[in-house]
Amino acid sequence: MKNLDKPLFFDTSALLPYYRLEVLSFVVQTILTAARNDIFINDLTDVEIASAIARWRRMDEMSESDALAIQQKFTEHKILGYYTYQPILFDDFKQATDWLLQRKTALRTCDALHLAYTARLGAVLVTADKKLGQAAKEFGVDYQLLIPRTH
Amino acid sequence: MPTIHVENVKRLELANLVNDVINGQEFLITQAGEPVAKLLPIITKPNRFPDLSDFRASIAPSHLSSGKMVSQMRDEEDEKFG
Repeated sequence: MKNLDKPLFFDTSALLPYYRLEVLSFVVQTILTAARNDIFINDLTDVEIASAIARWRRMDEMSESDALAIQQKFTEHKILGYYTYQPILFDDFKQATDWLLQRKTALRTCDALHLAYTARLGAVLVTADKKLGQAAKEFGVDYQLLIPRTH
Repeated sequence: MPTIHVENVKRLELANLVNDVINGQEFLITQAGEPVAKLLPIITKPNRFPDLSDFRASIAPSHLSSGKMVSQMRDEEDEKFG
């Protein structure tokens, strides 16, 4: 991946494979270990990580001890300062609202917030969510869409 | 830290000074005998994220990619509140 010297905003879809094995785990770990600048997260990341883990439990896709292990590992990494916390600001909500009011695309609420946040920080959005990647393209936000390779 | 008078920065050529800075050298710029500026390398963050292969192997793998799952979650949230 290019842009490894730029600050990166890993959205939840790109962050989860680092903690749970799936097709993108290796590529995500490679980017995180090669990155030479800030890896931003915010409060929405916390909420979405918690929501994803709760969903896995609801669907009985993992044990409670696995869910706890992932939550604890993510918390440990935050405490160790691997991530750079930057809060979502009022200006991000305003920008997100402005983009949603344009009604040009099927922009979802979270997409708009993620894009406004990334744009303000001058970061590259790293996502595995195709719809978010498409929205980033439409609104001119620097992004990297992670796509699983099929063999 | 080597000291350079501001008048000499032009003579020494900034590009050459920047090359030295990239290689780890720092310079103190002075004017009228007083320190007024520093030339320092921008420190990029060191490699921090560990290999989590063993940790991931200890947890049941996911069959649905996080890309699809998170996208579904966002669709559902939008349907609820949108």
